[in-house]
Amino acid sequence: MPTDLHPVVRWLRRLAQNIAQGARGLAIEAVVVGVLIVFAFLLAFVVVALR
Amino acid sequence: MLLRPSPTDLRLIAHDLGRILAVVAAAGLLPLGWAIARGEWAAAGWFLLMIGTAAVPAAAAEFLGWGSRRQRVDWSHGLVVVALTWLVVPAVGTLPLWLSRHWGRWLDTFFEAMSGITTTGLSLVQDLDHLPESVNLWRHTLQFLGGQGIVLAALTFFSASGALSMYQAEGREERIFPSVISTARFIWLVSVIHGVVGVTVLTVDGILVQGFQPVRSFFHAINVFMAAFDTGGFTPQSTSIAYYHSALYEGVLAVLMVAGAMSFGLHHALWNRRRGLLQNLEVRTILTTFGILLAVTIVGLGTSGVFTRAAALTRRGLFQVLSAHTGTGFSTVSTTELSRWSGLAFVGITVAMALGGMSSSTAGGVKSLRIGLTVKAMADSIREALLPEGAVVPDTFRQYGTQRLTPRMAQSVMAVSLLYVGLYLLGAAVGYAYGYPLDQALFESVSASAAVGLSVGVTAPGMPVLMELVMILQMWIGRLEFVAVFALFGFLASLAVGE
Repeated sequence: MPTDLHPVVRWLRRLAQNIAQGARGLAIEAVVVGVLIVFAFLLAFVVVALR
Repeated sequence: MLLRPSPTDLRLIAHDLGRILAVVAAAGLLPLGWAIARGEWAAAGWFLLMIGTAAVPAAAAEFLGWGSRRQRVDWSHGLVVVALTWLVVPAVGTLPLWLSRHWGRWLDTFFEAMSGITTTGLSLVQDLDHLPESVNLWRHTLQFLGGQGIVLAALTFFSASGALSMYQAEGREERIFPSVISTARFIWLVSVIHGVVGVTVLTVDGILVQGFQPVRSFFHAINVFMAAFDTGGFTPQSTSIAYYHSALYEGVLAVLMVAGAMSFGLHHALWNRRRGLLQNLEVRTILTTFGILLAVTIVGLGTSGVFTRAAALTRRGLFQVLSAHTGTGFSTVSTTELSRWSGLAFVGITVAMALGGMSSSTAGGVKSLRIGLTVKAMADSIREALLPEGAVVPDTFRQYGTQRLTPRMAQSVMAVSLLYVGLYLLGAAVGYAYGYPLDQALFESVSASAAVGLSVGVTAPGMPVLMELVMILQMWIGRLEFVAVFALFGFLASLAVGE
């Protein structure tokens, strides 16, 4: 990160970077939950159909 | 020969405990502010009393300069401080609970505070739905402090020698950055970002879907966020998450529970686009156990006829398995209904609770890394026995790079895993001795020891005192993962018989 920027600008850039990283993490967590939902539903569908 | 601790050692420990109490006093400002804003004047007085009780010894230890002669701080010092912290903080935290008169006896409030700080979520509160909002907020704040690590919170503000031993004694094994302080700040950053997103979505859902007033919606959102991300399991209402009747609410909480059960090292790796994470032993282990236990529970529920539609079966089954495996303890079914889950579904939920989340997360239980390493050590032994003499079995595994599973590491991992099994059986034996069915006693014991909080009704106001004490012990030991507690017992022994 350039050091000649105003401290406030540097702080804002750092904040934006953290938010972007956090959003990526949250998106991956949401995908994991989505995969679990699909897996659970397919299984439940088969179990209910076979019962 | 045991060496008796010197008066300087005792002062240093008292000084560190004082600093941690200062954090408790600061945390008490949150429910105090809420009490004032909502006109709960009696509750405001209770919180002032608690803040004073925490702040006075903290200020005294600082004023008397007990920390100024800090010289060599050994590893056990940090362990003792952590073990004592997790007794002293709930003791101080009981004050507003006790004064609210929503608990039958003082021990019930200590149980509640211990359940909160250890992020267990079992509760002995009476008439939760009419508890003052600020006291309810304090229950959830305790879970947030405990999940983040109360000592870690103190380390964020006060640098201290012995920081590493205290950090690790709270059940966190990995340092993301070389400095404990930097690691602590990263943990707070992850929590704040999840908090902002989680509270916003839950508040909007509360207003638009459930028709809550904005302040009420925000109150529920912030409480439920703290309990979800820190895998605590307390809820503002007695019917847990079933109160909201909202698939979106449950979906958001599912994401937060998963985030809470993930190690902060994994968060850091995801944030920084590190590749090959699916090769990590811990990630593979938790995905495998999640998949197997979800399948077991769904098949068990489906074949027993509890749910007749696939959508309802998926929604209830998945949420309960997620809640159990992440160590959260939220529920979308009533305690009575959960106690009727039998066969495979019961086994699936109980084993999920026992295994727990990832190491260095806010979850409890044996933890996935230990499970993975135990399985690997056993598989390696079997392979060695089957292969021709002199054949080399690789003893490496992937966990953020290639690591070696040494015999000492394998022994340590298996010892802690066995200790957890012993803790689970101890509570089950006590419950069984009091006349509870063995399956229910085991379920509740695992729930307490692994800091989960799901209940089949054994934990209730008026439960036997000895059983309550054993469950408090289970929550305390289970959260600290044994080592700090053993260090405290050794310290007390050296005080009594040391020379």
